[in-house]
Amino acid sequence: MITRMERREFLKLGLTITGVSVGGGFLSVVSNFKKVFASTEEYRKKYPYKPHYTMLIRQNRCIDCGECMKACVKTNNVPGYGYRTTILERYEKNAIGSKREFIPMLCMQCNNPPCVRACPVEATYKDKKTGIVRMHYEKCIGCKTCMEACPYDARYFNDERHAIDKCDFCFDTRLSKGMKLPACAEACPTKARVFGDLSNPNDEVFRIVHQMQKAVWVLRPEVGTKPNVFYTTSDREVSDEK
Amino acid sequence: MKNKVIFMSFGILIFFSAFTYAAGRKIVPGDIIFTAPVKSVIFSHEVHVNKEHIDCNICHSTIFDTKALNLQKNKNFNMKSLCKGRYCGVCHNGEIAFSVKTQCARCHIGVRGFERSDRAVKIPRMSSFMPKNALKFGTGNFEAVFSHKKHIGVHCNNCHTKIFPFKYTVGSITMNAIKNGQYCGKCHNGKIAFSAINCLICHNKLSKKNRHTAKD
Repeated sequence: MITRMERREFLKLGLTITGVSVGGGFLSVVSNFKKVFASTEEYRKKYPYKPHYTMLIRQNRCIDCGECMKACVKTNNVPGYGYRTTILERYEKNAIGSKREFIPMLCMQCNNPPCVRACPVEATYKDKKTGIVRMHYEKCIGCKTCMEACPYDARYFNDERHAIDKCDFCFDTRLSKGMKLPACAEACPTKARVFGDLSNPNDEVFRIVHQMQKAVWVLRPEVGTKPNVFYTTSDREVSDEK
Repeated sequence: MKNKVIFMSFGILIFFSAFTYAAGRKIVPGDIIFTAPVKSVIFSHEVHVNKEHIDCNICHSTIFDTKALNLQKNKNFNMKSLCKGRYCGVCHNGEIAFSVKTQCARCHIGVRGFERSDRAVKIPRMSSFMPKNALKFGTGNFEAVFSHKKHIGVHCNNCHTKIFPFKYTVGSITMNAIKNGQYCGKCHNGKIAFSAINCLICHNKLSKKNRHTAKD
């Protein structure tokens, strides 16, 4: 019989253990920017990847034209039943002014990826150099555990490959061949998707993510995945972009 | 009994409010959904005509052709020229209406919005929004009539607004001008439609039959 006191002690112990394990993990930018600004210089040194690929999505720019999805399908041979990137839609009937909102979605390339932890055969892994969550397609047994584990629904089962497929920032198809941008970022007509390197202080993404004037957020911060895809809004006119 | 009276009075109230509501509204063409250069942008006639009370001739045909989707064939129909004050940008400049530089998703409904819509441009029959009564020009027995009903096979933009504005105006329509090939004479020249020499077809108060009925 466990007394109430004992149970409390046990829970406390559990909390300290998880706290230690999270604190011991690698650090990266999180949705909580106060922490970032508490030790900016220190933090910059601790970016574990070089280049630290990241994407910034200027959400109010998205018009759901579908060019990114078309480009992705073409580049990565994505079948019709799945997607590597998609656009979510929200309609608020009683909103003032614009009643519609589009949210582009792709793999968040989490720094704390639940899919990697869930995979029983280590078929999916966090790339040590670039921080991209990639796949060993030949290792995948198709158990779909990672699909269940992913809080962003960013994975699908590819029948032709008989493996799970997911967004890898076009690493296999473009970045590794010397191209600078993933297909979606290149195709976007309103420049809603900005692709960049978070380890480079001169990068546009770095400059936007590390400022405080404008809100920058990540999707589902409560699950603690520490995504590398950030969301913000843009006041600059589309026609001003190069 | 009391319940019945209340119920009926409610019914009458609803009927009349619905009737007056419908009476104040114009029947308008359906939503126009542009698919070029990007998919897709919605234009709602309902909002512009019945909510904002904008007259047809403010846009047609100086800014927009009356033929649906004719505009998107233009190469410069894009955000750049809109920002410079062309097309929608004539009003949507931040002064008259919200600027085209803001609130992208207010008009852009995207691929999914396009798939959700029934794709076909719904244009009601001309008869539903043209004037019901014949238009009258001139006075007394020399009055001439123009009936939209009889011209129902002709597309709106054959006359509006190249020859006639949407708004009813007599202006300088004279028989001389018509015989010189202006106004009605553009078609009524004996080649496309009956010649303007046939006075009594339009000036029908002069016809014998009508004179009889007027006397009786």
